[in-house]
Amino acid sequence: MMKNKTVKGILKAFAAVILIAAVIFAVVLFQLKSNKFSGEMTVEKASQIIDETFENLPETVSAVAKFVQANTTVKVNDFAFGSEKNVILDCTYETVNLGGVVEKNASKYINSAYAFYKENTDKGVKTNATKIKQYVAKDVEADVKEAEKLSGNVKIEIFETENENYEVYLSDEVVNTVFGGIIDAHKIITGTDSAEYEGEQVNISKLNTLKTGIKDCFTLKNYSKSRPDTSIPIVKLWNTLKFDFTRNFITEGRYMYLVKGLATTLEITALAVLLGIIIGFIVAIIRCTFQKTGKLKLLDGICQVYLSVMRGTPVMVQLLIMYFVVLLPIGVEKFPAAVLCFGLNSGAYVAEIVRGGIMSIDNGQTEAGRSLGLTYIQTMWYIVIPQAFKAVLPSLANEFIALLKESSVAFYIGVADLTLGGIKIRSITYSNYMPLIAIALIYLVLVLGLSKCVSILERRLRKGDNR
Amino acid sequence: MITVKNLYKDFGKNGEIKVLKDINEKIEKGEKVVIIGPSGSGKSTFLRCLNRLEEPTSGEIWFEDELITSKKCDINKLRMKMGMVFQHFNLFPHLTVMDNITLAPVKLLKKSKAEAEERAAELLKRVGLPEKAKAFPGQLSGGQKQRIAIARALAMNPDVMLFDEPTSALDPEMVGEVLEIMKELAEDGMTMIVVTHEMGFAKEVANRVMFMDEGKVIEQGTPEEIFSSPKSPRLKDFLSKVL
Repeated sequence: MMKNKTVKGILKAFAAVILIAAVIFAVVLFQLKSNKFSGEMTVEKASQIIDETFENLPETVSAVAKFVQANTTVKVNDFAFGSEKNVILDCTYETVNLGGVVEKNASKYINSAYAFYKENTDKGVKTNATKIKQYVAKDVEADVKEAEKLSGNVKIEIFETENENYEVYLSDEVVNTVFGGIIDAHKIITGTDSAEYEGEQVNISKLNTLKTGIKDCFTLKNYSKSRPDTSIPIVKLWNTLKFDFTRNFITEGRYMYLVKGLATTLEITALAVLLGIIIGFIVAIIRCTFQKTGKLKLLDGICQVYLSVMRGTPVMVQLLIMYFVVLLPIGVEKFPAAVLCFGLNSGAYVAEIVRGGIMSIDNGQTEAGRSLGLTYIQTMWYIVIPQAFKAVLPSLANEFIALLKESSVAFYIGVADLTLGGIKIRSITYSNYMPLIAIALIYLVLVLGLSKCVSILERRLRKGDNR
Repeated sequence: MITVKNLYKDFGKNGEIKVLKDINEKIEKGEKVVIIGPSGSGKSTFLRCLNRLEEPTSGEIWFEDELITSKKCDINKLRMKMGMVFQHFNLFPHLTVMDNITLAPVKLLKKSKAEAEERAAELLKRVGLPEKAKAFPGQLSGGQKQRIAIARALAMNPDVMLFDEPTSALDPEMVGEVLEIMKELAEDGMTMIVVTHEMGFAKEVANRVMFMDEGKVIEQGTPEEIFSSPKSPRLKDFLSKVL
């Protein structure tokens, strides 16, 4: 009988795992498929897109700046994944949160690009976009290094495929900066043969050189690195997966984001549950005392308000209020804020669980204790609470599991938990499905494992229950 | 030893259910009082008022020279002197038999663990269950549980023992073993107040039998007086049904 049940349980678990794997596989397949492209990107088409971009540029300089920040990315991204879908512009720029740096220094890059352009044209040297790009990229790299104290590594790789469909690997940020800068520089000088630059009247006559240069960028003349992947589709899929996996988790030890995040998540959950149990028991005892004896009316009122507030508002809102309104002004760190918030929240649920547990203990137990001469508190502590605790232990463990999942909103105040670990990886690699599904899987494994432990615990407790 | 004066007990929001109506009793040291009567007559309530498990509505209860019903009285101290045995045993299921017995002496009499366990072993021998010290209540039969409950109450060395229908929840073949312990206890001179339906026990052990009905003590006297020549029609009616 027992063996039969175990076999059934294993089969069930196996079926569940297969189902989950199938879903993940489907998602991955869908992702890969949506990244597949068709059609051909020709030099003409690229040229046309660039021309359109140039024509659509706004008039004033300030509008240009906004345009660069808001639209260039979109244009380039569209170019990468949009209608043409022939060129991959993939970010291999390895650092976190480059956006701020680029925004901050956008005008500097523009000026720098322009100065470089001017210097060369003055010398009579032909300048193309590639050179400008390389020149600006150095600045970006330096700024990123300085801002992030990380090894920013600008890789602009362009791969040629076998069938002459190009795969271009460019960092989005670099694309932003470089093209934004070039377009902005162009805007400053376009329309007239001269423009004012730092109080100096500058003569510009070789606009076409710039245009050609940018076109060069897309014609890939200066890049010959080739990486033909002639494998059959399934192997190709495997290669892509492997590449994505390496990129997301192995490169620069990015899996550490997940490991450290997981540790933080577990710490928050464990501490919050501990706090929740303490608060929960106190509240439950106060409420039961009121219910049974009518004493502690004021405290019971306070507890009821606490319960209504904690159970009547979303934990996310509580977290934001707890951190930004209550604790940040008095200088409390994020981690203790999260623990406190989740502890208080969980305390409300634990209180109701424990109250149920205490009320479920036969009144005769209290009477027996009191008849021996034990005080109310002694009776509670030595007789009722131990029994109630045993009765609610599985529910408390389930509360722990619920809290483990709930704690994922902690990333919102910047606690580096598991969820934020995944989000960080995502912000570096611009890969969606790998890091997100990875964190989902980690949560799932944790929750399934813990649930299993709870059911074992429940069975043990039932066995030991000799009432 | 125990004096009850004008004891009233009401239940319900406005006291519309009157359970005890003007009880006046005196129980002497060494007396074995058995309270009989139909269910709902207030026997158990009366017993539970004696150690204030039920709060009397009005009236006075004196234990030796202390007024139990006064607010100033430390009822916990007095309860140590009044052992109680319940219908449903109320052993603590999470503790072993040994811990059930030693919990109160260790916490309240400030006995050392060893001292309390020595006394507990003695008591276990007395109730005939010396081998059950390590057992949990769930592993015992009803009769064994009740014997342990008696031992637990005795561990506090009470001056008086209150029994609230101690055999009512037992299988018939287990009633005997519990009554046997109670008889031995009576022979040792313990003051006992017993609410029971066991008329045989009342006849054999009681100094005084008290018949209660509708919240009043209708008739009382020696077992012979009560069982052989009952006076009130209600007692006659009751005895005709139970004997």
